[in-house]
Amino acid sequence: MIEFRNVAVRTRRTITPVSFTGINLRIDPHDRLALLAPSKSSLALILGTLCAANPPDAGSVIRGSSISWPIPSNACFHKHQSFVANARFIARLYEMDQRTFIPKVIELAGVQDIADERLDHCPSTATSRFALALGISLPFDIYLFTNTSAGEKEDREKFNEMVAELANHSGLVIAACSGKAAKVFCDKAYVLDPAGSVLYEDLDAALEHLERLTKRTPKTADDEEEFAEDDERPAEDFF
Amino acid sequence: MSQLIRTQFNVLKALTIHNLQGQMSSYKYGFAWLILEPLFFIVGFRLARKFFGGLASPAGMTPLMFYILGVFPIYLCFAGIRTFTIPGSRSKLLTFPRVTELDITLAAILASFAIYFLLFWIVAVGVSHYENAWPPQNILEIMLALIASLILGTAVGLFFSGLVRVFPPMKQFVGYLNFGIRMASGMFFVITMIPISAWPYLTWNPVLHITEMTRDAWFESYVSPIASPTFVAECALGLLLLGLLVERYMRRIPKT
Repeated sequence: MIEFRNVAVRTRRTITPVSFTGINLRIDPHDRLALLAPSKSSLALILGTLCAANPPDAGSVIRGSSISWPIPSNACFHKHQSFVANARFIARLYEMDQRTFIPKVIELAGVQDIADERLDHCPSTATSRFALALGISLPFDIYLFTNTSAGEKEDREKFNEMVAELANHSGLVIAACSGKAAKVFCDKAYVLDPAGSVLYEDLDAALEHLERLTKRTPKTADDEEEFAEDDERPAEDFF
Repeated sequence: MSQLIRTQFNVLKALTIHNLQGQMSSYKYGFAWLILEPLFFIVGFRLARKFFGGLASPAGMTPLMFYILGVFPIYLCFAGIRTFTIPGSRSKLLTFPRVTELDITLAAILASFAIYFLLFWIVAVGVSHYENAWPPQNILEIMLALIASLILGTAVGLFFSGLVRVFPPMKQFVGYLNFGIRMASGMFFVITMIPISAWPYLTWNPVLHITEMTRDAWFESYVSPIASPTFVAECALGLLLLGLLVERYMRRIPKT
């Protein structure tokens, strides 16, 4: 279980600040829920707190279950290294058996023929497939997705099936600014309203609320740029 | 409990290797530059001293080993201090819920230690053979001095990580501190080259004790009148506790 109790968070040093107060949410290991926010920057703010990257400004976060990183984030990859080397890093970090984990991920991502190529020499579709495969190959109590599709059309179906399979025995959280994936996988949703989070058992009602919020929240150029940059620079060094 | 410790160890190992693999990755032959940097320093000092004159090497010490034993401990200390930016940064590795700021900081420190410790022995063994200064008198003391230097730097880095988050211009002060350490910690001198009247002031600096310890431990002919392992241990422990307390406190404060 992961629980937010009266959490408040806000962005800093931004032209158009985003803030949330009174966020109360609970994620259990067998939930299939969506976290819907009006903009990517507000979603990033909440995900940062959910993944323990940032402490909340107020309130508390109680963690009783393991949660994945926002899949398919590829921000920590070394782009000058191969798929195998990056998979090895994740295997080390999550204490997986490298002899079985790495071939499994490589096969799942369908990058066998370019497994030893540098990431920056490979097509971005291969990198996104790899990022998704890495996340779903690890055991977590709760899987956190920001996107459930990767690669070409035929890959998407395969990955969607795998995500659905994961949801049978683990918790599933889909964090998004639209309800497309949420409608496929989730049966309830939290809408992150600046005034507080609202839980909906009916996804259509949640999406309606989100639509109203989105209209009220103008997207800034900064916001768009920030995320475009993140997508294009998958493997920035961290020091 | 043992499982948790093993997990912590594995996380640190993974992050350290990740850090090593990423160092200077934007440059061609990036890792080579990392190794060459301290070597350039040593050769540069030696040449400067040769061409511009000045003080001769202290009695009983060979010229290149004199610099090597001064440069590496200070480099290790700087490697620790440099991590002051990490706890306040928004590292992308923090999206992994099992990774904390302290893990990333420790991984950076361990990576620097791995590089400079190995490099020290490669260079020191080669140069000391060339200058007939092999073997060292007390290897254990040298290793402990190098480790103490890293711990001191780490402690100061952790302490400043909190101050910089509260008061960002403090970054400038870290630059001045580095300059002060470089000048006053025995990179270019041993204490016997300094007037005795200045000793009571200079000996407050634990890094000077460390460079004195390394030279004392390497050369049989040099006995440092001031090197005090107890003082270094006390400073390292005290500063480390202070640094960890600051890091622990600042962890709950949102980053700017």
